[in-house]
Amino acid sequence: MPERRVVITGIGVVSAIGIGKNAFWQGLIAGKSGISDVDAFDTSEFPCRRGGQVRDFVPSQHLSADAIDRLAPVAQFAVAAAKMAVEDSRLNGNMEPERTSVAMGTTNGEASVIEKICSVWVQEGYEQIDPKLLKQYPMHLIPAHVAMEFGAEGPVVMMPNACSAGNWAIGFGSNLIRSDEADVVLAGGCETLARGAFIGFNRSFAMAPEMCQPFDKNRKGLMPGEGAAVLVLESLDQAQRRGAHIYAEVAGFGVSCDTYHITGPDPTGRGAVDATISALKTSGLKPEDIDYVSAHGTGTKPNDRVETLATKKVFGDLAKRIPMSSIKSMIGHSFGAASAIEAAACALIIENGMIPPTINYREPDPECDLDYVANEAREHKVDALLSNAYAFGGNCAVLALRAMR
Amino acid sequence: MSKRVVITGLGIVSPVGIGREAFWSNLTNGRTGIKPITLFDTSELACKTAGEITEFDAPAALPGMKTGALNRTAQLVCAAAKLGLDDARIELDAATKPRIGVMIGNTLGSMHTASEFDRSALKGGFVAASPMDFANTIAITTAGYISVLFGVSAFNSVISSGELSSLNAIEYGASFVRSGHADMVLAGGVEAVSMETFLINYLPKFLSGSTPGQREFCAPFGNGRNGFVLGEAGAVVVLEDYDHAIGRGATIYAEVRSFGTAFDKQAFYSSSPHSIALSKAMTSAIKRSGLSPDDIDHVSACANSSIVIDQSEATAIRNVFGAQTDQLHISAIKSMTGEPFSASAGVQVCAASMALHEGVIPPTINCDDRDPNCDVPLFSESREIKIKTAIVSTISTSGLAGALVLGAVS
Repeated sequence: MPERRVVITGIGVVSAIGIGKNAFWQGLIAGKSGISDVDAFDTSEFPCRRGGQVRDFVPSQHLSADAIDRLAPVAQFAVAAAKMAVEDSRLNGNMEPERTSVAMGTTNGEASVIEKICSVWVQEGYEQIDPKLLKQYPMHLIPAHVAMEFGAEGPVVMMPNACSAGNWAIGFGSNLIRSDEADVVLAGGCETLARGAFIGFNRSFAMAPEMCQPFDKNRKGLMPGEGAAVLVLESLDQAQRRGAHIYAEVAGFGVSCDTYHITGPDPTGRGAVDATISALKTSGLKPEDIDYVSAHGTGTKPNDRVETLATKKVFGDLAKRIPMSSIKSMIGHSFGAASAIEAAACALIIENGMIPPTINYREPDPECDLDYVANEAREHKVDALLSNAYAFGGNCAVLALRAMR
Repeated sequence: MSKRVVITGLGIVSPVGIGREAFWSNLTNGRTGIKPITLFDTSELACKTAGEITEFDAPAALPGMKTGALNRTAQLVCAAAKLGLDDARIELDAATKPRIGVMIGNTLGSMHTASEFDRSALKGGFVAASPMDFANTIAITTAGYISVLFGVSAFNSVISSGELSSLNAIEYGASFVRSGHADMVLAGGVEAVSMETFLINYLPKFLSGSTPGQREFCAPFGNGRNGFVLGEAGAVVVLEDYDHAIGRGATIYAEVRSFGTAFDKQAFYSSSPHSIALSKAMTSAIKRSGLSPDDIDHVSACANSSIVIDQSEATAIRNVFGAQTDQLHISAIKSMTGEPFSASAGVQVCAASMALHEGVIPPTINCDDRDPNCDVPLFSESREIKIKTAIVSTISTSGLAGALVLGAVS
């Protein structure tokens, strides 16, 4: 029996440059910046205090009053993105419960909940912590909330793989469809701005003060962000049978890892190279088939240098001819949501034949010498692409998408 | 033809023993690992016991490795990974390391450090938070430290589904062996006892003895039980391609036959019993292995002394096995370990693999006084009997349930 193919038939996005697929895409190709002074929590003590805060998310536009009361902020983002994705897919009401699954990604889940817990603990003592808050914290409840919303009864998991979590959730979900465990998987990632990330990246001097400048010579670090994206993954058979709109096919998923350091990348790019090769192998694509690379592109010195090096190691002379941009320049690094939001962007890139730019790109870095689609979106037919994601722990996960034909 | 996946190493760090032999000896002798908590001060708390791993010494467990930067969760899982690798007699070299992956079930591993990190910053400003701790506040590093310490590089990932986490990790890890992406996967789960993981269960009154006037005790399926006792563990099994294992003459503990899972939204934090999801998960796992319920010899139960979970599981077992239930050998090992949450199914898989390999089935302790609503046969002394097939059963309070069928390999 030939392996079942997996396609993307719905997209839902919550981002700092727009809520919903259309606003998000318009923001991307306009090169819009979603970076502002963060006021999701008190940032006054931090040297770097800007980020990609989502400002126009109105929970009542997406969720019932009951859901708003029950769900903590990350779960609200996740369920809202899932609802937009399912609506976009026109699947609603046609999902067989036992053949429907949910796989989400995150860093740790409900960051604002643990921060509230800590504030009460420090100010009033742990005895005063609201048990309801504690019950909202475990991160596997987020995909369970998504499953409840749509009556999914198949596998329901969280992949807390931080900056590569979205790709892992999509990889996991695709595997369920390929192995005939599911017909539909709601797969994505979700994150809210976390005080912990501000503390950690300010303490480790890895955060940019003003803007995120991936691959620029004077890049100063990453810019924390937030958001969510959910893709409707569906078996090709079912999608064709119901006449669904198909954005792209999930062609392959490649993984590997560095063993160099718990937070920093291997300077030789070993894990990134192996994951890229694995993505090509699992998708049956050759280097010359790749028309675009969605960069991990965080804007830190080591990441952008190593990602460039790894790309050159895999693609050789082709590397300079393959456009590679980072939308983190516009929305910041939304960690557990990032690669899911990037996968949504990639599906739209294939659909529209247009590549969003890397904004804030001013001065070339001799160590980063590829085509980063500087500052302006570009018309470009994309039949096949790779989307890179790397995380703490040396985790490397690369997704391959291709146009449906 | 899909590859067969077998278990060739058992790495376990648990309250009833560190290492396969100590774990198995204590488990089969019915020795409890539940004891007074030493990891934090319980003088102001109503609950004072847990399945705490008291004799754990990270530098001794991980000789020659830099363990100082690891939090307890990472230390426990790395120690379990080392025990698993040693038990499987795997030589880590340039040929094997790129072919070994890591898939760890965990849900609350970063909670303690994330909370400490944030509380230090709240008290002393953000400069009071130690940058050394930052990595430990991020859940993925639980798997990442295994890659970094042992140099294994096929992949690393964490997967979270509460009490099911280890089963999801083993099933997803096995898929990378089946597809040929890895020869071996270190798969299982970890969870550590801390003030934070205690409070998340204590303040909502999930723990035995957390309501004033209640006695604190752990008696799965027992009469008058009033909640579970918290536990901790690192349980990492070595999953291996069957041909690869045979080729190197490895000891095979068990074969990973098939997995089933289901979600029941009615069961999400429900205060009444709910057996539908587990019934579906077990039925589906048994069916996928090409077996019938009559072929199952042993059930490693998830019952943890919680009123709802135990009754749900007992009902599901009756639903699936019918009259055959009385022939089953059922053990609820959480009677001895407490509830190690995301590690729990990993501990059950280790115990069930040993039961298949050794022909001994561990007992359920504290089961003399039984809840009439939990009508399943139990025994309080271990049984010597050769068995062919076991099922590991798991229910999560979130409404998820899972089951993994393991088979003996002769």
